[in-house]
Amino acid sequence: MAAPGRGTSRVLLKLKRNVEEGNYYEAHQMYRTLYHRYMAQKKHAEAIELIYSGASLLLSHNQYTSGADLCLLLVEAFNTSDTPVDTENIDKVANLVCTIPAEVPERGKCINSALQWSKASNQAIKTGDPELHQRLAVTLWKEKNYMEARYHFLHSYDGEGCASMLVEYQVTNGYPSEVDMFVAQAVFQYLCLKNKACASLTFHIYTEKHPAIESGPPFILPLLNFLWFMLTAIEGGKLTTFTVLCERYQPSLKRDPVYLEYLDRIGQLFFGLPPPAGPTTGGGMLDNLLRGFLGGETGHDEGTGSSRPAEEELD
Amino acid sequence: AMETAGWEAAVPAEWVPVINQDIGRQRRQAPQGGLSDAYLAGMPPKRMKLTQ
Repeated sequence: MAAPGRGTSRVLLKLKRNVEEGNYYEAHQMYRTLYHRYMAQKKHAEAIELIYSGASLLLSHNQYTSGADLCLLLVEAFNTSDTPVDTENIDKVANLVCTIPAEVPERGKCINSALQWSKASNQAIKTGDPELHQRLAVTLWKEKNYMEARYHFLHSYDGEGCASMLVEYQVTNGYPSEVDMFVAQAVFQYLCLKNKACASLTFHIYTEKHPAIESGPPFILPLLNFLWFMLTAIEGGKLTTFTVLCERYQPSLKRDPVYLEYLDRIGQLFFGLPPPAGPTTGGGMLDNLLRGFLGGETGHDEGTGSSRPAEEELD
Repeated sequence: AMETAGWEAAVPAEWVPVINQDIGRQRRQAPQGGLSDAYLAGMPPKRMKLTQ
């Protein structure tokens, strides 16, 4: 990115003074005007510098609505200029989004547009860049919004953060009988997203940190032994081992009927099993289910980029 | 004894005692009661609709 010229820094100083004197409305409008001028001149680096500093400044003065508005312009500039989805730029947008309090209605829009932009990093990941998901997850976790934090952790590469958050979530909001189920759900879902490393890390850290889980493996709870064996079987790629495990642990796996559906998918992804077909399995329904969970393709969930669909359906 | 015949060969030998113990534990296991809202919130969105 080119260094902004002398002119830009003079203007930035003037705008900064404006904000510090409390002339928020004026400053906001001026940022917008200058932004559009730079963009029209294709001075994208200057536009980004200007709008990022403006958004940061307004947000630090608790001007959340105007700060969020500039945050949206920053993402717009990223999109227009094909700014790479790298750590530096993710930092910029995450720094802004994460200082907007949850109650500000515009925050959701900023999150969604940032995730939308971040999809450019990897066309294969339809739900947005894992680094950005990680930053959002940590923010939501701090706000004790476990449900949304969980969604973003699953789309990040932060298995360690996910495990620690899940321990806290389970202890504060789950039932004692669900100690093993919380980690099973996350492990299965990570595996369905083909994220073996996070599945394994989440399992090991969760079982190590959870106050109600005795040391292991082996564990006292059969479902935990199943997960431990299954993760090992995936490493070895032995289908017969996987099949035997699924059979011997049926009673544990039936505690949540969705587990068997995850395992179908895991069998396909890691052991080359064909997708279930025929009238007995209702394969179409499962496929739709998983696509919904995987967060794209069906159209219905696409573009929300957060666990909003689940939230709506909770009402 | 009949029901366990054969499967042991498909897993590493050191797993067999653990799995056997778990088979016993699962027989004595109480049926899963209702699930918490916190747990259910982790379900895939479409499933949430189906279970209601």
